Amino acid sequence: MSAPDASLPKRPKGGMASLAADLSSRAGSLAHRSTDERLVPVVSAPGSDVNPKPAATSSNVARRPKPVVPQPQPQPQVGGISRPVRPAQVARLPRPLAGPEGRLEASGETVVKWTLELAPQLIMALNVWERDETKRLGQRVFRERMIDLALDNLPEDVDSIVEMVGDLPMTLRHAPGQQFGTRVRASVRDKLLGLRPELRVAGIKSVRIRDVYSAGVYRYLVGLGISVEDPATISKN
Amino acid sequence: MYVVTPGQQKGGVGKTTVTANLAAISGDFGLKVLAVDLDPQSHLTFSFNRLARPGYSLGDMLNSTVPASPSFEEVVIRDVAPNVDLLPGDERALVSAEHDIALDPLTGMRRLRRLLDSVGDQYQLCFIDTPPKVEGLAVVALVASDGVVIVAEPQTLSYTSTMVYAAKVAQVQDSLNPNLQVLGVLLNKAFDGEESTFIQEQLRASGLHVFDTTIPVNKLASKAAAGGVPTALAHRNYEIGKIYRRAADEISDRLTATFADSDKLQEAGSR
Repeated sequence: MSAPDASLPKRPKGGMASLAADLSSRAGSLAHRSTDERLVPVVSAPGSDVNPKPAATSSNVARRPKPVVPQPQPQPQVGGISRPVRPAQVARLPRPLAGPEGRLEASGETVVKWTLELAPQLIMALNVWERDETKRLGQRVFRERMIDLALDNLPEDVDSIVEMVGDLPMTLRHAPGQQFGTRVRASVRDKLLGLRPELRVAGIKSVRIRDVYSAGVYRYLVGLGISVEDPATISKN
Repeated sequence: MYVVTPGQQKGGVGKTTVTANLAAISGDFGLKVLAVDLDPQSHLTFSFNRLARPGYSLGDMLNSTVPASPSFEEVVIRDVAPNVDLLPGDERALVSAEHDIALDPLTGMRRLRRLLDSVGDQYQLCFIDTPPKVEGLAVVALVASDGVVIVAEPQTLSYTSTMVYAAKVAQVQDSLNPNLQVLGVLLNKAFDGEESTFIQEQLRASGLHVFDTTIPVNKLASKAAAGGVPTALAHRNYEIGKIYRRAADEISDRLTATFADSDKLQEAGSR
């Protein structure tokens, strides 16, 4: 077992003060470890000679590799939780139609009522979108049609759905949900509810159906260029 | 940042108490300290009178099956003691993380190390509390650590466990973390007596460094834990507070002697 060499040069003992001074003098030099470089599993085949371990000397004890400058982690925007969506996603998302053609019944399918549980920020963004889009087009657009389209355009496979849920900001995912009554085509609702056994089979316990439709609606809103406001700014209005 | 794990295979020797007190006294001195609760029992978190929020614990950060793992900023609890931040534990999340790591050990073992490396510029010392074993999460801690302080009681059974633990640390050193060093053995719940003296002699004879400071049996420690303030802080001016201060100084000396001097020797050798 390799332990600090007893013949290590004696130095004045300064305890924590000495440690603090040592760390200050080393800051920016060779203080950091490179995770990938230093972890080297040693695998030996049964019966083969194990590579001889170099004798622990004070020169090879605790070699410190060159510092790795940590990459800055992406941070959510202050005061807003909208995130840019990749251009390919924006191009693929269909826009809800206005007027009679925009109604769910125009699809010819069975339409059912469905009560969702959405974060207040999402509900606010839906309301704002419905008002502004109606003004812009001069004809009535329906937020229920947007929700129907958002949920109908979810990814097909479970992995992509889980990734989509991962893009949902934590503040939205864990916000206390508000009851939001809407209507969707029966096929859309059945597709969502059918995810439950799929997620169970895949062993994914931490993703709820609420997370999936919230992420779908969020992705759709952001894809249309609509910002989802931080609750602090909503309360001020 | 130096990462230190006060470890031991045997339960009940006082690892968590020692970890909490070393972190607290180091922070009280002025060092910037990160305490990491990697034990599903989460007693280190309890020692600082904190609870992890559901979904925001160290286990949630280490578990790759959590789709949107919380960030360090979302999980860390700042200033649980002067200059001490805490990554809190949660039993459910840590147990789940341990299972997840077992499915992909080579990648999973590195997660804590990567995490600590990413925040290493914010802290000077990091102490990791581990479960009483040398597998699973305990190995994750050893992979992430620079030094191990073996916490032991001066008793025969604890001596036996210490030798087994030291051998297993050596295996981790050989296969996963060549930088890992056993800094020494810190005797906890020490008492005066023949057996205590004998065990200390046996430990020294085995080649392990034994710290001169021994932490005595102390009733104040239990009272302090109930109050959520480590005894080294709560009883800073009592004998027990001074003892922890001496223990922290010895460990710091050992760290600087082990790592700083080896760097100087490397630099000297390369000229």
